[in-house]
Amino acid sequence: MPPLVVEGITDAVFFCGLLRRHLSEVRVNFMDQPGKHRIPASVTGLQADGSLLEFDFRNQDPETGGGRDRIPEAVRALIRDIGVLHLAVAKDLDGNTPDIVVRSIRDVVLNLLGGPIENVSEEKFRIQNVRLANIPKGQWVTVAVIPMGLYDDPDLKALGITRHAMEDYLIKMLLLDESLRPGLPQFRQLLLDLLNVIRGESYKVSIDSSKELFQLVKPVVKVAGNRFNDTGVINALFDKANSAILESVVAPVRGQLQQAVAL
Amino acid sequence: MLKSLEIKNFKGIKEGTISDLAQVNVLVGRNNSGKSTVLDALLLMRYVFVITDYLGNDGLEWTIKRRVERGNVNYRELHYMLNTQEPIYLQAAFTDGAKVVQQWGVVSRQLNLSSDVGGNTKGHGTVQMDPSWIRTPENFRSSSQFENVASHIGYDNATLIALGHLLDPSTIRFPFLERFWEKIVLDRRDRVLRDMINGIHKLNIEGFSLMPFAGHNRLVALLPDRSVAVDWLGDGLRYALNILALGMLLEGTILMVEEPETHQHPESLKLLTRTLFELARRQNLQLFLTTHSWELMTYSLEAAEQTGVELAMHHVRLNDKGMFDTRSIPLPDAKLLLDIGHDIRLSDKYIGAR
Repeated sequence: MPPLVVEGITDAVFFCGLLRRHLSEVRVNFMDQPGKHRIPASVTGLQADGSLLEFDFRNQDPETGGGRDRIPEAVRALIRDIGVLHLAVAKDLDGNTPDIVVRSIRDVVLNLLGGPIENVSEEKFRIQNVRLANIPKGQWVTVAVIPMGLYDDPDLKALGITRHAMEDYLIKMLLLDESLRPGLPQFRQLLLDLLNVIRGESYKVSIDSSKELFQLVKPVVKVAGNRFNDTGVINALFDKANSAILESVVAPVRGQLQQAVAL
Repeated sequence: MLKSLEIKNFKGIKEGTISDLAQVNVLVGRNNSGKSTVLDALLLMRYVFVITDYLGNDGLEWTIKRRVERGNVNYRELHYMLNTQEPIYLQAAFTDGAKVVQQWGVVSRQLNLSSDVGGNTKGHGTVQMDPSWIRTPENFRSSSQFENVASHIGYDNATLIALGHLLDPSTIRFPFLERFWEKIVLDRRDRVLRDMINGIHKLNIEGFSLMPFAGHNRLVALLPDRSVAVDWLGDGLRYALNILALGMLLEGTILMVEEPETHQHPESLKLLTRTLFELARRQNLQLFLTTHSWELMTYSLEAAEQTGVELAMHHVRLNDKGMFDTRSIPLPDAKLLLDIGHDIRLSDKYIGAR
């Protein structure tokens, strides 16, 4: 199973939550290094057909905060130094299209390996090694990119979100699923009002990313005991979400994950 | 400084090279992945130049016997798959461009030794080994061929005199410190050693002394209110003491330590690691540390940053055909990989079969 490079702890928690709802006999393993015991290290579980799905997370150190800036470095180190032959990368769209995100990772790998490239699918490619010593010459390295975010989603567009991230799925779940926000039936309107005030003349705060918006709404929805703890809130959202709504929101990401695993 | 080592037909390794060696080298990998074999290969190379090591052991005999105490030394066991038809081949390359090649053939009873600098062979020689191998290197050393070789590989300035000194946890069972205590006390390095041990193990030892005990001398730690034979102290302290004492005596050579984490509390290990790096810098030592410890890896990264000593982590593995495969990871990348949650020790999970 490939290592899954993510931007930070919350992304790892998101994938754990997603797979927890989808797989059976799910097991999340946490890091066993001192001070990192609460960070998910890997998630495993059985798919409907009985096959094992497993991901080991990379790039989520709490001290450095992970971060998308470190993704190219992480990809390079895993391939160049370790000789990883198959990996998956989950990267926020931010202000880009999915195509640009895939291309940015492809360029990193291409510069490393230098060989011919083959597209396996829109978001998966393989490149032959002609440069690195740690990988046999002629060996193919397969990389699957999971561009994170709901690009062109009308609901998010209506909220003025143009920089997309993992939090897109969380906001979307909150918008569609009333069970996640008891006592807030007019949630959509609340968000619009809130954003209008913040973006208005008095405050002039520019909020165009779901990452920022999620931090604003997190304490309001009161979904978890500790409303300021990202991990707790994400876990609670997945635990309490309506199955059908959840499926409609995260099915594409789950499909990408499954495709990332397949060789 | 040793830059790479090629090994063929030696113990579990049919063929393989460890390269991009730094001043401090941390070797990680699964059990039976060849970490100790690299160290044993260095011991065998040294044997041509120095038969008896600091610990008083015959280098070759000890290499064979250090795992299991056997009655007879069987040199077949040095050969890959016990196949003595194929000679053992070792090639060491140094940062100054020098290369040394040794070929040991049991069947031919022949030891070939050559050295070159910059691709030009500067010296070579062949000597017939006696049936036991044991005294062969002494014969070789007195020959003119040896001088030809040795003069081009820094033998005189000791870069190869002690190509390898190895400590493994079994050494804590031997009261070997007595063997060279005189050397330590002569210029009062015992005080430095005392301070190191007190710092690492949070003790208040006032000094060490040799005291007569049951007919022989025994090394004793002088505590404020009593004296305790070192042999009676904890294993962690004794292993650290052995490592540091030997490290202090050596200069411009290689020090190999198998699993320095053995018996060490994490806090003691952190200080021991830092002290080892400082020793490496001060005494111009090239260190080879084998480990299974996450703590040792992270402490090594910290120590390298604090002391400025060059560090490389080497992930090693060995397939069932004896192909030895290594990945040398320099400091910034090793730190990054540990930061992103990649446990270098478990890298084989993601690497294709060779």
